[in-house]
Amino acid sequence: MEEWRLLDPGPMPAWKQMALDKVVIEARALDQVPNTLRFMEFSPHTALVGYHQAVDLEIDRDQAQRLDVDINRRITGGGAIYMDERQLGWELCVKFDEDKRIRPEELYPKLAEVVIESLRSWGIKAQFRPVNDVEIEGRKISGTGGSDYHGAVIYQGTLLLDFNVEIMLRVLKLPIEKLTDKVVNSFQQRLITMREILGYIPAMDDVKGSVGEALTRVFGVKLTASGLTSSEEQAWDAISPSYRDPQWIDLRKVPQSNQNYPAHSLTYKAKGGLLRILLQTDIDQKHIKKIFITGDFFVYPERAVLDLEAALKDAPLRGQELSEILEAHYRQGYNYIGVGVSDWLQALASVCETNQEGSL
Amino acid sequence: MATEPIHRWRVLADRFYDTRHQWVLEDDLLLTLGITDYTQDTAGDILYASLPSPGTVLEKGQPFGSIESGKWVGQLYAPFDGVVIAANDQVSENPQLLNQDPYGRGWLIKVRPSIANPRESLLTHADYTRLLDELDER
Repeated sequence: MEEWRLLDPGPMPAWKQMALDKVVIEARALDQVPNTLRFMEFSPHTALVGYHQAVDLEIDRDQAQRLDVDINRRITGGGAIYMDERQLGWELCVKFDEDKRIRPEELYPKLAEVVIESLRSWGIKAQFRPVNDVEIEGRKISGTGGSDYHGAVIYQGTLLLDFNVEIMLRVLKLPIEKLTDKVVNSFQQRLITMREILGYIPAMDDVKGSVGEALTRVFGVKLTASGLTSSEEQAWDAISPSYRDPQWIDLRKVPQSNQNYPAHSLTYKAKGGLLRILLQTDIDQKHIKKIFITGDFFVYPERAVLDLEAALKDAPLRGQELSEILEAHYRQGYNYIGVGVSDWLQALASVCETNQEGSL
Repeated sequence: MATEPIHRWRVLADRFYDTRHQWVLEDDLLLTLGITDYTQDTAGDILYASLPSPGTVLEKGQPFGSIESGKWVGQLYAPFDGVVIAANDQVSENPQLLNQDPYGRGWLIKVRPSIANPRESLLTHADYTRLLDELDER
């Protein structure tokens, strides 16, 4: 039976974690270490941007400083996240066929199975939601992202044991107008934690144990607790300081032509009720960055709105593509009362049209 | 017998390729690099592209930039030693060009090679077509 190693180095600051990601993926690429499951715990709490993101567009630096939240940059893709001690970070570092490029939509469901299987052992039924989430009845419990390097890949994610939505909302720049209880509740409804499902916060070690056991079942491998090799230790010591350096943390700057991602508050009166869409767009890349949908229309099941948000995230701001996404969403059989595809397109039309004129 | 490729990706005969699914086009003294149709197809909608500044020294086999799609950061690797002379700002600003026109407007960088014959380590379009056939990803 193939043997994988388990690394569980304990809580540490983000800069040490990010450096260790780089060390482990390089060692795996060079076949110096076996496939690896690694746990990541962040202390102090941290806001992390994705590899290609600019900190100033994603994180409120003043708030982060006020709340003693560290800021750093992942080597993996995806959006900004907030990590505290009540979330478990996990990652798989595995070898991949170097002749092939990664096809994210095929790789993610396979690797996310580890988290789904782990939750199953707690009696929690979760499922994969494209592009990169694990969700329970539409509410996200784990988000993931990845990167590759010379034939090795790192696929990493979070698992919410518990979560402080309010700190996340204060630190991350999200398209909200004012931090009210209603807004906090609204975001709370988009996430779900093990505490909410189980009625208690499970012990971190028990959750780690369940993830490790799930991995052995999903991949049919043996998992052995291990430490870093001496060459990994040396490399880690050598490169760690560069991951607390502004050159790394601010690797991507805000483009000159784009001082911010514009936020839009769109409303549209459909026959079935009011659609309210809070939207953040990326001008240069002409796509939806973040989207939150509320309103007083009726849809069953309620998760339909969360699934629609997931489907529209990162979607191009072009009517044709949006129409295709919406049609595909409606084909899944959700029961929207008096709200059709054309209503959503009407609601979003001003953003698409303005964008096409290049003056958004 | 028909010798049509069994894969579905476009491969142009006017350029060379590498095993990282990147193309290289000779243009007088400079070589232009880009990603192939296969790369843009497997990546899906590309949201970010990070390219090196002019003057950056490329080392064969080492990453020189990256693209991101579907929360995945994929590396771009230098096919030979050289120096970056120009990077395509339009791709940095609008990475969807890589999906829309990977062999044309979606070029990545122009490089002055620092070796005598960079073509020696590259694949012809026929070689690359065979490589794609072998991937058998239909």
